[in-house]
Amino acid sequence: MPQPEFIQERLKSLNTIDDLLLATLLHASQAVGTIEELKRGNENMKPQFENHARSFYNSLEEATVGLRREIKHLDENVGTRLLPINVNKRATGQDNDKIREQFDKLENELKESS
Amino acid sequence: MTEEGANGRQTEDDGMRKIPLAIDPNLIRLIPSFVPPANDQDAEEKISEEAQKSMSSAQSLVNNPYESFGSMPLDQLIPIILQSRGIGSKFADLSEDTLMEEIAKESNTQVDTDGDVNMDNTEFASDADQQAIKPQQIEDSSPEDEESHVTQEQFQQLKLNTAQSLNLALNESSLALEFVSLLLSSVRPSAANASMSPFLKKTVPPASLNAEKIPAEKPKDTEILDRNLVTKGWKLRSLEESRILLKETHKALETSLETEHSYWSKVAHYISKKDVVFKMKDKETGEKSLGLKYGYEDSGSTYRQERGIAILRHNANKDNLEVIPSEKRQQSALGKDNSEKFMRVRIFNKIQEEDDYVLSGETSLEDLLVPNSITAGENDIRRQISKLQFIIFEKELMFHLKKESENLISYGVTIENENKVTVEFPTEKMEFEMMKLNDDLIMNHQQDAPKTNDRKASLILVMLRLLLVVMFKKQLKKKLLTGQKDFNANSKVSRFPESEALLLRPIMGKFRHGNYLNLLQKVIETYILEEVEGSTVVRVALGNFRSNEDYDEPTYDKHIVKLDREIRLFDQILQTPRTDLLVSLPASGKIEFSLQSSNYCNATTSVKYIDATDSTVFDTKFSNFKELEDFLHFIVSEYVKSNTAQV
Amino acid sequence: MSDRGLLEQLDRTTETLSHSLTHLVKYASITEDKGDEEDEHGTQEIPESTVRTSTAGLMMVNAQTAQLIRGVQDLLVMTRNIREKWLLTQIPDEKIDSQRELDYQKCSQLLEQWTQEVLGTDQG
Repeated sequence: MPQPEFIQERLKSLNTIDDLLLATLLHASQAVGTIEELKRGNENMKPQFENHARSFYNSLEEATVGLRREIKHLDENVGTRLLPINVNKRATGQDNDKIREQFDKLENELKESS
Repeated sequence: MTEEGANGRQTEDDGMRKIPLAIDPNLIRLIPSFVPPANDQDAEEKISEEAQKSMSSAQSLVNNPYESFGSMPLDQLIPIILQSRGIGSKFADLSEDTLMEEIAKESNTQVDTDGDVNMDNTEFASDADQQAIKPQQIEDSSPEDEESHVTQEQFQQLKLNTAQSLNLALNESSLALEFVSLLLSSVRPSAANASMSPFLKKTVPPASLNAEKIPAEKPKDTEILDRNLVTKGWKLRSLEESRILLKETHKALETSLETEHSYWSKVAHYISKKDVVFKMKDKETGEKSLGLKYGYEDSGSTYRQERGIAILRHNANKDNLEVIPSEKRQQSALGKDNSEKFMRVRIFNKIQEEDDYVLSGETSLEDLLVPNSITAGENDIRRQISKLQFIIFEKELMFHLKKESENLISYGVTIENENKVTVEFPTEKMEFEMMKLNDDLIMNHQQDAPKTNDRKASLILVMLRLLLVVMFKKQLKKKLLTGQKDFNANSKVSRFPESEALLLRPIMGKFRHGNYLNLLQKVIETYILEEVEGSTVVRVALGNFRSNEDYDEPTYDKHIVKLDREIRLFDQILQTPRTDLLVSLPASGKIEFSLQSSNYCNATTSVKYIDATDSTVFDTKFSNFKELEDFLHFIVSEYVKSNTAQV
Repeated sequence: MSDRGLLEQLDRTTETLSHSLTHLVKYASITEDKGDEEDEHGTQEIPESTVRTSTAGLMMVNAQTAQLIRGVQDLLVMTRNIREKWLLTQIPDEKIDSQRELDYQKCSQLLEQWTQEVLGTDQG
C-alpha cells in the first residue's frame, strides 16, 4: 500500500533538494580548490573559480527556495493531511485483522472437509 | 641642467641674484625708485601682468620695477632675458664672466655721463635690499587693514587664545625638557641637575628614568621572504585541507544520501498510513530510524512480555527494508530465548488397552513462516510484518494458555514444560506446543502424509486463536466502558486486571461434556431404560438463552456495539455446556436431567422427578455419577416399579 | 506554528552558508593584499608571525569549512524532518478498516460448523 501520490511527490522534491545541497558542498570544494590554484599563481583559473562560486550560490539558492516551498506545503497541509502535533499513534484494529484472517482460515478448513 | 642650476641658484640666494638681473642694461634705464614687490601671491600676479605689458610695449614700462623680474618664475624670466639679448642668444651661453664684462662695458659707457654710476649701483643695491623688506611690511599692512574691522572683543579673544596657546606650548616644551633632563640624570647627573626644575628634583629621584636605544630590528630581506613563504604555505595548506574536507564530506554525504533516499522511497512505498510508524533510535546502529508497532497492545492485548515494536532498517547490502524486532538483540544478549516460535497442535489417539498413544493429526506449518524467495519489494515487507505479528500472537496465545492450564491440572491438563501443554481425554491426548522455527521444520513441512485428525487439530488451533481475539475484544470493550480518558494511563494494567483466559476450557469443556453426556446416557440406559419398560429418552432442545436483540438496546458507543456483536458471535462457543434430557416413564411421570458444568470441566447433573400427577417429587443435583446411579436406582425401584406393579 | 521555526532556521542556515564561502575567499585574498603591501612598503610591513598564520589557517579550516559543512548537514536534517512529518503525522482515516463489520451470519454459521466438525453432531 504505497503512500498517496502527493506524498510521493513531496519526497521526490525533498530528494532533489538534498541533491542540490550536496552539489552546494561539491561546488564549495571546487571553489576552494580553484582559489588554491589561483594562489599558486595559476591565473587562468579565475573564470573557473568564478564559475564554481556562482554554482555554489546558485545551488544554495535553489535548495533554499525549494525548502521554503516544502515548508509551505507542510504548513498548508496541517489539518487536512497532517496532524498539527506529533501524537503517539496507536496500533488499533489489529484485532479485526486477526479475527478476519482466522475466520477465513476457518472457512477454508471447513470447505475442504465438505 | 642649466635650468635646474638656475633654479637651484634661485633657491639658494634669492636676494643676491636679483642684483645682477636688475643690472640688466635693457632694464636699468627703466628703474625709477620703485618698490619691489614681495613674493606675495597678489603682487606676483600683478607683476606678471605688468611683465606681460612690458613685453608687449617695452617703452611704456615706466612703472615696471626691476624687482619684478627677480620674483618671476624662471620659465617666464628666461625668455625675457633671451629676448632682451637679441635673437640667437642662448641662455646656456650666459656666464658670469661674460655678464661681468658686459656690466663693465656698460659702466664704462655710463661713466661718461655720470661718474657716480658705480656708487649709485652699489648704493642702489643696498637700497634695494633694504627696500626688499619694506614691501612685505606694506603688504602686511593690508591684512591689518582688514583686521582693523575686528571688534575689540574679538581682538581680546584672539589675544587670549594666543596667550593660551603660547602657555601650552611652553608647558609642553618644559615638560619635554624635564623628561629629557630626567633621562639624562642617570648618565650625567650634574648636567641634568642643572636643567631639572626644582619640583622635579623634589618629587622624582634622579636617575629613576632610564631608556635604552634598541635598534629597530628590520627584518632582513631573506627573513621577509621566508616568512612570506611560510604564510603562503600555511594558507595554501589550509585551503587544501578545507578543500579536502569539503570534498570528503561531499563524498560521504553522497553515499549516505543515496541510502537515505532509497530508504525513504521504500518506506513510502511499502508502509501505509495504517501502519503505526514513529521515530525511534536504532540501538544497534545508533542511527535515527523508524520504528513500527506490530504488536497487539493497542488492540486489546494484555501481553507485555514483548513490546511488539520493530525497527525499519535499511539493509544496504541487499538494498531492501528489514523489519527487525527491537527486543531481538537485547533478549538474545540476555540469553533469553527469543527465537521465532509458533504453536503446533497435535492429537494422539490412545491405543486400546495399552498405555500408549499414536499420532493421529497435527497442524501444518503456516505458509507465512516458510521463507519465500519469490516475494520481494512490498510483499516482502508486508510478509515480514505479518510474520512478526503472527509470531507475537502465537507467543501470547501460549502465554495465556499456560496461565489457564495452571488451574486445570485436576482435569487432565499438564504443563509439560515452558513450551508444551497437554490435555488428556479418555481416548485421546492433545498437545499444544510452541515450536521453534528452524530449518528442519521448514524443510520437512508438507512431507508428512495427511492424517485423519489433521483437520481437527487445525480447527482447534483456529478456535484457540479466535478465542484469543475475543479476549482482546472483551478487553477493548472494558477499556471503552471504563472511559477513554485513562486509556493511555500507565496504570491500565493494574486497573484492568487481565480478563480470565478463556481459551482451552471452552474447547476441552465441550469434549468433556460430550464424555459426561455419554456417561449420563449410559447411566440412564442402565438404570432406567433397561429397568422400566416403554421408557424413552429425548434430548430437550435448549432455547436461545439470550436473545440477540437484548444487547442492542442500550446503544453505546458504536465501537462498543461492534465489539458486542463480535463477542456475541462466540456465545455459543463460550457458554458453559449444558444438555437437557427428558426421560418419559409410561404412566409414572418423567425425569428431567440437566447436565451442566460450572467451570467447563466439571459436571453436575440435576435430576427432577415429576410423577404422573405432575407434582415434583424430587429435585436434586449430583456431581458424582455413582451417587446419581444410586439415586436413580432408588427412584426406579421405589416409585416407578412399585407404581407399575400396583397398576 | 512549528513551521515558522523551520523557516527561521532555514534563513539562518542559508545566511551562514553563504557567508562561509565568502569568508573562505576573503581569507585567501587577505594573503594577496598583505603581499602587495609588503612589496610597496618594503620593510614597513612585517609579515604575520607564523603563529598568527597557522592560527588563522586552522580557524579557516575548522571554523569556516566546518560551518559550511554543518550548514549543509543541518539543511539535510531538515529535509529528513520534513519527510518524517509527511510520513509519521498523517491523519489516519479510521473508517476504512476498524468500522468494517464482519459478516456475522456467515461467521456464526462457520462457528456452528466448527462445533459440529470438532465435537460431532450431537451437541448444540
